[in-house]
Amino acid sequence: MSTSSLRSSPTLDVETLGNELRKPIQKVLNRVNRLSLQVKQGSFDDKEQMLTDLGKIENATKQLSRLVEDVFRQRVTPDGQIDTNSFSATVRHDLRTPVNAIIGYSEMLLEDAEASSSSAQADLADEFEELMTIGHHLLSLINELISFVKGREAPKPSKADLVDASPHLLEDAFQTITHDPSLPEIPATPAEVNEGTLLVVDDKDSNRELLSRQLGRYGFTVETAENGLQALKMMAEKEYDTILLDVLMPELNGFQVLAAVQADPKLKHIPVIMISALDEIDSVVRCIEMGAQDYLQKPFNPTILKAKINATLERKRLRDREQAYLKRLKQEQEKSEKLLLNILPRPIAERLKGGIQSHSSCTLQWRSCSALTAAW
Amino acid sequence: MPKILLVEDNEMNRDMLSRRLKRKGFDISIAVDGGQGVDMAEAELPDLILMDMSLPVKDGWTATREIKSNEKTRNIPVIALTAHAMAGDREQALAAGCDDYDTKPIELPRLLDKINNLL
Repeated sequence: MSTSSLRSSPTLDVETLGNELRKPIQKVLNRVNRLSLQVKQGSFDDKEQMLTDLGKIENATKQLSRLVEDVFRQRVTPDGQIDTNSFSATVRHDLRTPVNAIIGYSEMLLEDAEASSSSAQADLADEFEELMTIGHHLLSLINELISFVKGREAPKPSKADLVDASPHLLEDAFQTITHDPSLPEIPATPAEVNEGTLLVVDDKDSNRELLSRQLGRYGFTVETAENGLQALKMMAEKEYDTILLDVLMPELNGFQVLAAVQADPKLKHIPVIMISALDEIDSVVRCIEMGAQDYLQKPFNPTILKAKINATLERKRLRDREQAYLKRLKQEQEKSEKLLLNILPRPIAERLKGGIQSHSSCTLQWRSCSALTAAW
Repeated sequence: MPKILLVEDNEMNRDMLSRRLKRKGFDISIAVDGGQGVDMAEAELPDLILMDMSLPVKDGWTATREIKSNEKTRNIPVIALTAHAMAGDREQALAAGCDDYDTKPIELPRLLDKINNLL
């Protein structure tokens, strides 16, 4: 099914956001109603349990709908934007809870259907899978909404957030790109090439969002991954010019991703810049010892961010050129080898190579070099 | 059958998780708040505790700290269940003595992996 992105809407306003969420919510409600009728009228082994679970999905969806209406009707400022202060961590948590229930119960209905001996129940498996997919879609919409609102937030914690008593929330609120107006803007010189495809790997939506916007503004092409596994999958399919890798992530953390990259002969030449918060110097050192190119500390100084990425890209460009050169050289050498074998029988060619090797290969090398120089 | 104590205040989350874990062969006990969680940990001595971090009466961090400082229960592995929304939950859970953490929405295979690693 199509996963529409909130970000891709041309006019990202409250109206649009609200509608994007209402559509899948209504879809779930319609399907649950239909499925409940089907189950009531049919004969299934776990009829009671299925109806109960469908009912729970319905309740969770209605709860979500109420919350969404609350956000879009009551937490809107006079100029029609979502009031970021009232969009607190509690609201975010409350939005996610019913979606998790929709996903969880759909998954259970699906598992039961797949394990069932009744073919009527097994037939419903696809329907339950659809419900689960819509649930996941809702979750990603909610996450996008949250990071959208967070992105518009001024980088200071709201009172509501502090009340949630997480000591690291302040750090989180400040882990945005700070713009230091006292530093002179480095003008884009003709020599500066902000070109390249970057992969940003960070489990926090807001960090990914902010980094990709900032880097996008500089002219880089940015793609993002929200965990290590996704990043590795993406790297297997496309060659990125640099990876920006967060150290602290759940499941597969920065070290493990770095180790996997270094272990893969196809990936280890891709430069990795580690992203770290202030108090993780030990892990940063460890990453560099493991082969990371550089590290960036949060909050990011935009000048340093740009400079480090450009330096890394330049290094990679030089290395890529060198590799191309060496490859061409090898091809030329193989061509010459073949030529030699065409003229002389192998045993004589080998003897010649053994004796007069330096002279003939120097001549051949010299010709190869000029051919290459002409090509460049 | 290994016994798991699930400490979770949200009824739907409790229902979902306990049913699915029971189907995977675990014996499940339930506590609905932090205080009950600490008491049942001592009373039942489960093989593993799944602790939701945002609980009424006593929150998950405090409950874990108490469990880990009680000689009778300190060796029981604890997996924190954190809501994705709160930044710093993860670090706090580990600082309180949790042996691992998982984020909601719960992906059962991922959670099972973590459980099996600790049992």
